[in-house]
Amino acid sequence: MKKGYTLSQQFALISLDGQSCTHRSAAKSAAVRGIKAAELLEKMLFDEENQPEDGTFLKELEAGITAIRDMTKKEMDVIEKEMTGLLVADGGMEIVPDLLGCDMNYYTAGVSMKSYRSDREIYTSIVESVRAEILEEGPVTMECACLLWLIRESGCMHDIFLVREQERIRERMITLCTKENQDKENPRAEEGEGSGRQDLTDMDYIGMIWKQEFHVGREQVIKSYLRGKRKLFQNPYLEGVNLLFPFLDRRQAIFVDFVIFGTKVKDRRQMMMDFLSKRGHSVEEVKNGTETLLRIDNMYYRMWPKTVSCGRVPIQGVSLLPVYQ
Amino acid sequence: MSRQRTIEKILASEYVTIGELARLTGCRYSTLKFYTEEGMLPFEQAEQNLTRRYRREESMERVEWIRARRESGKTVPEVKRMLEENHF
Repeated sequence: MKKGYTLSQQFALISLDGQSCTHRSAAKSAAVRGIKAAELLEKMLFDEENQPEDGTFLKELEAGITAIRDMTKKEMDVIEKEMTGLLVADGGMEIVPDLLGCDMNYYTAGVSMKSYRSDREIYTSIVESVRAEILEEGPVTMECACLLWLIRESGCMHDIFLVREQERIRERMITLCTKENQDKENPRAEEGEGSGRQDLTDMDYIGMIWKQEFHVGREQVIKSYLRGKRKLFQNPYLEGVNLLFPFLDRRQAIFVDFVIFGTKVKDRRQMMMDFLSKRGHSVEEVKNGTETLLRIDNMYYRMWPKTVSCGRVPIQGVSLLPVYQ
Repeated sequence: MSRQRTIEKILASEYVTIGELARLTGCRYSTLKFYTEEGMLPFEQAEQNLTRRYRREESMERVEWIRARRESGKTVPEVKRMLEENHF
């Protein structure tokens, strides 16, 4: 990572990666709430001029969190556009065509799908430094603790940490928040130094932040349901079921129509590559033993010739199935 | 609890933590940890239970060197052997 990003920018790069930029979704709403919460923390913790007076921190934090929970869709759109506009201009994020928009049902209906994609190097730097800081023994920075809270509240925990790692994080945070460790972790508290906030230590602030919740239950349920469904269809047996019934998980069975009668595998692959290239995707052939896979936007796919019927009209084409192993 | 160091400060310091090394190199934490445990990435530790510190310049060069060998198709034991032979 060549430059530093603020807390809200770091969180936006993590949480908006892969989200649709043209349509609202539960996951995106949770991410935008997180961005707003990160901006609130930036103001209350890191901005010397706007820090709340002693004793009013919790009250202001709670008021801010209530406002975040009650945000309207219009307000969320404004926050999203502001943040992504900044990151896109900066080069940390780009807007790319979504592969789902290439599905016959979508492009024939004139639905254009675009999604956000964070710069791989920057994304990895942020995520891996958080992982290293919290999973490794040693001090945890204020930014890392705040990011963890934001990740937890926006439901991104499972995307970044394994279940056993989440256990470790819980243990670490409890240990860090205990009174015995405060003096050791925060020598400024002993010395009575700090940014004019002698009464409360950084760990007290983190403790207060970690007790707050801004997530919306409905969004979390939808997110975990979709994650569960996606995981379910990664099973090789259910992958076949999804191929027969693509509506079960449309993202994992994209159908593109073209004439396959009389064509060879190589021709079909070439036709598919031309079609996807025209729609702005980066496509290349990748040899995997005896079969050839397609690498589309850094994801590997297998092609299956298929015929679907609309009413009584058969439509020839090819289905794209993601390869997970 | 300390504040996160800025990139400029990290780049000016002699020692970095594993998290900062991940930030600088874009390498996965698990990979860096693995290299450390395999003895491919030297570190300093004042006492047991204290944070491991890595020499910034040396570690960044080392990670890049290992990454280049891995990309050229070398296996981890082969890279390890090469490191030992070159007395890095």
